[in-house]
Amino acid sequence: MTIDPPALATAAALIRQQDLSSRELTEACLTRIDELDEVLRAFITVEASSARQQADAADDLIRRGRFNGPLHGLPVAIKDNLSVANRVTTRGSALFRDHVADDNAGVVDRLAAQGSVHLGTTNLHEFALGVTTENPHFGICRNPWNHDRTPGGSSGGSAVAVATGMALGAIGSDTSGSIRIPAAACGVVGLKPTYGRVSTYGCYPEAWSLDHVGVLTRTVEDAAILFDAVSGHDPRVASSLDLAPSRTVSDLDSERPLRIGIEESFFFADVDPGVESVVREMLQSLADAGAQVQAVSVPSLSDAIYALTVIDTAETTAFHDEQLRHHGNEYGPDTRLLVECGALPSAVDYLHAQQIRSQVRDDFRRAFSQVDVIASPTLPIQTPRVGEPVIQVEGRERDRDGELMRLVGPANLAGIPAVSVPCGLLHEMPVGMQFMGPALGEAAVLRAAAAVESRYRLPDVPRRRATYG
Amino acid sequence: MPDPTPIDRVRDRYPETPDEDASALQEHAEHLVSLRRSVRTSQLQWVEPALTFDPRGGAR
Repeated sequence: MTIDPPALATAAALIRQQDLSSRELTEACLTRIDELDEVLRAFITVEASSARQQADAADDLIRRGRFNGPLHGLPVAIKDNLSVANRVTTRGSALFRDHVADDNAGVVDRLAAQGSVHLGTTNLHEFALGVTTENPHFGICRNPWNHDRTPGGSSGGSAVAVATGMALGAIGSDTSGSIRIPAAACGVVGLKPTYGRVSTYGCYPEAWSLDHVGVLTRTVEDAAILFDAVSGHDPRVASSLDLAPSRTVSDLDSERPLRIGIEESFFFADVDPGVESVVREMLQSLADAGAQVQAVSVPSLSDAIYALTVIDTAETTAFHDEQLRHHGNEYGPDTRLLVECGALPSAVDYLHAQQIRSQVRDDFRRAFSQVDVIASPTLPIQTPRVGEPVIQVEGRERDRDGELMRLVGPANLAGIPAVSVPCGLLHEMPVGMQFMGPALGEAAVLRAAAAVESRYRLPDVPRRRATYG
Repeated sequence: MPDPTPIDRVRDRYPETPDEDASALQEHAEHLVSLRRSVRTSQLQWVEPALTFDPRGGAR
């Protein structure tokens, strides 16, 4: 009989006590994949055979009293834009369907060094250039809470794998919300760290100055464990911060009252009333429990969407330039269009955008001199249906992709850490709450997320719905 | 001579851009203009862009 895959921290303790083997855990995840993934399409490649071998090797070491690290024997999945040596790394693209990577991404090396079991690579929006994971080459990834709804993206496969127990944790990447959007849509915890805190070596670029690698897990403690395991300096990456690995797990239990900032004019403007109500109820609950909630101002956010639009599209196009020119017919229509759009901004637009970025960074820094974190909804809308590029909110049409990125993008622009944590259910779909913190303030955002988690624990995805939608 | 349309500008770089992308490119170009007009550029003149060059370690 296979077990139900537990949370990552629970599994680590059971393995350490030798009450559970890595092989049993790995089999449990592989069974879930067998049961669910034909419909959900969370994985592009499942490495069942090598995962079993790695699990057996981990168990053998445990029997000899050796542990490689906090992830020893734990099955983890990796977004398929991160290279795994000698394995196919598709980047979600038909162009790279048979591409075998020469070496590991930095984060893959870290996972291996900490003893994790590599389950396989997860589905993503083609080249990570989109927020729905409707991948024309490897299948439409679906939300396990309702198969008609998008899981979000671009790290949609990673979020679905974690939400359904197909993996105990997963690695994603986030350029304009690509970890936090699917985390919110699928009801898991998603952490985008400070820019440069986790190596981007071997991560297929989207927009160099906005790209972050981070983690998706079922609980906040799991996110802290996985983030601590993969963070740290990588001299191969110019933007990598020369810092030792983080130690956020030990900070989660701090008793110090949280100071939570609320910025109304950007982060609560035009939010779906149902979503806003769930988030404000949680804020009130946090205040009732002792958190200090106060208004803050980040005036330059009014120009943030312009800056993000220009920087993201221009950097994407610069990277894809040669490839699109010669292989444009192998791109999906939406990713081809996105790369084409980046040819429209001028050099002056790009430099103005980088000036705005300086202002946004400085305004956030001033706000964080007053508060530990700034809270907002992760998404201003309810989770859209698959294949629905325009949505209706209170009778008004809105662009789905713009809405999904609207509240999460500023943290990429400023390079600050941000987490999405489930804070309620609305029409039987999860609602996510975002906390942003100062640069290197991962402990603060995770502590705030843990406070939410202590007041609301999202139920597991009902098995019937994960299977049948 | 009329101003080039967005698809003309994109085709300068990517000649194979299909006709079917014309309307979405036009829409994006209009969105970009609208966003640009909303920016308070008067406040930007003395702001240093978030780009620096470190001669010790390469471009950052």
